[in-house]
Amino acid sequence: MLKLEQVICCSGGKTRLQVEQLSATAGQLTGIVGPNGAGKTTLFKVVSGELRSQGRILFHQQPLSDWPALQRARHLGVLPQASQISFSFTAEEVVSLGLTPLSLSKRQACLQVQSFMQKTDCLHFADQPFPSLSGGERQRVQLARVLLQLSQAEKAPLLLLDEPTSAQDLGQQHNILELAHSLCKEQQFAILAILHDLNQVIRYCNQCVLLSQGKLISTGLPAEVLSEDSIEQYWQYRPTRLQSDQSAAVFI
Amino acid sequence: MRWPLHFTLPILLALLAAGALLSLVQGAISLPASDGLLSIFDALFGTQHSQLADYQQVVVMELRLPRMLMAILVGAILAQCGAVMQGLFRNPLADPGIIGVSSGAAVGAIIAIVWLADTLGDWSIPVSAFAAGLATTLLVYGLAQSKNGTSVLILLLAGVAISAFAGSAIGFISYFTDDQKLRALSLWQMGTFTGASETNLYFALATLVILACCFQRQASALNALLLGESEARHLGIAVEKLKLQLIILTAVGVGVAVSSAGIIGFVGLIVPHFVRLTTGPNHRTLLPLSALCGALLMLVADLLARLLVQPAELPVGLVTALLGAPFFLILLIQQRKHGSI
Repeated sequence: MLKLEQVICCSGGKTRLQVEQLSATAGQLTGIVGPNGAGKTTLFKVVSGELRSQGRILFHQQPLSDWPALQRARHLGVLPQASQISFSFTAEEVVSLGLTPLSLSKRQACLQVQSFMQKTDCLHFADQPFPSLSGGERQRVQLARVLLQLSQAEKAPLLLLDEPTSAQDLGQQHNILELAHSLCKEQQFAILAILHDLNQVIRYCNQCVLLSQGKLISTGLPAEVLSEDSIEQYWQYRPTRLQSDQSAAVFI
Repeated sequence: MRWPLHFTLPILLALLAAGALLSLVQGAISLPASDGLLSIFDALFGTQHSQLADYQQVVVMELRLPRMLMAILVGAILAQCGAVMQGLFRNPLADPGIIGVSSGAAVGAIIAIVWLADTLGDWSIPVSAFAAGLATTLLVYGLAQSKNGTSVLILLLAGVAISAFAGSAIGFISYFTDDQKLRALSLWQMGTFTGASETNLYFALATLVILACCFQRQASALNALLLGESEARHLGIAVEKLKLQLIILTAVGVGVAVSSAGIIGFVGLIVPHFVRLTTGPNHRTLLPLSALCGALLMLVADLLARLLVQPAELPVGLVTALLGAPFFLILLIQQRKHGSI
């Protein structure tokens, strides 16, 4: 459903991203990993159309640039890493902004807003001003907004999550990844998530994409891409691999 | 705690009606309120119920009524432009006066008053004010954009620099103009509604109607823009087109307001801020309520300008500056506390 072919993004005379081939299919949660400055966020900006690039980006077999803006907004959502709003919208009002590309009756809109706030566990602070929330709470509010934005997608939607767990406590990190996992499984979302915790990638993702210095290094099953050798090579850290007793998950 | 729209709207409309009536009957010559109302009724329906003497009729219909209407229109235009600029810059300090747009427009208007209006006609004043206001807005916007959004520091410094430049340009032009025009220019610079003509009123009314309709159509897009430009783009908003449209419209609004009444600062700063505090930052309600509140504030400021030193009067820009400057300082301190500056 998402295909990148020979995509190159340059700025300031420097190649910031070079991807020969990358695809994401519906129902798949893809973890994007790599050391700092690897080009993970640039990849998101290229896919979301924020940065211009050469090459082909196909979304549901159609060049992404050919998608009308509103249709694209209903099928492609981006969760920003951090967000600040100078004016004191309440959490609920921020989530309601996800209605912008949609056409829903007032009652339906209200129900949808409540439902997505419940899914991301932010209903209990719905009336609080957004600027007064913690980083993690803001991120969950934004997630509810983006999910609402994608709620009228006619084809499988694509969701880009930029470090969705970076500001969350341990419990919320897993809640969010469980939610992402279930969206893929039950609603055929394709999700690309930039993650720094490699354990989470191994545990929740079906696919892993390793980037380094703006280049795509490897794609495949997380346990294969994240070998001790590749971690040492790209993060300059030799991990210890442990086998869990209860599950097949591997902790590094 | 926010006030619901069905509560604020009738209160504002009632206050505006009361302010308008007071503006008609209060001043160097005080008149009974009923006669003020009746004289307007007479003018509209050709009756003769009013007990006012002829000279009092002239005061109400030819001096105070156009002035009151102009105050309402300019107040509404400036408050809406302020609300839109703050949304566009995503900062509550963006007021046409503070960031230099009014000063820029004033230079355009003064050039037209001194050199163009005699040959080209009065229409050249708002057109020239709009052109200069537009150039200033584009300059300030371009300067204030940074990788992390709008830089408040650059926004304010650009305002200082442009106002200084405009001040010097106005001083330079004033130096070479004759005494008669100099007096008019000095008064006009401080903001006044004394010269409100019928043509000016129609022009300001048309501008307000166009601005209010266009802004209201973009209210949802403006809300989305508060999330950030990237986020708005992801929500399907054509951000570049929206920004250009809003910049041109605010420049038209500020240009018309400045050419009609001179430089009147702080209305676009105080009003949207107050409305946000009472009813929230949603532009769908913020924009119309700001227009009403701006009209009301301007009526009150004009009334104070006429009453404080009667039978003489103060330029209305002085009154709004007196109210607005401390408010601006409070906002600045708040922003510093939040680490935005």
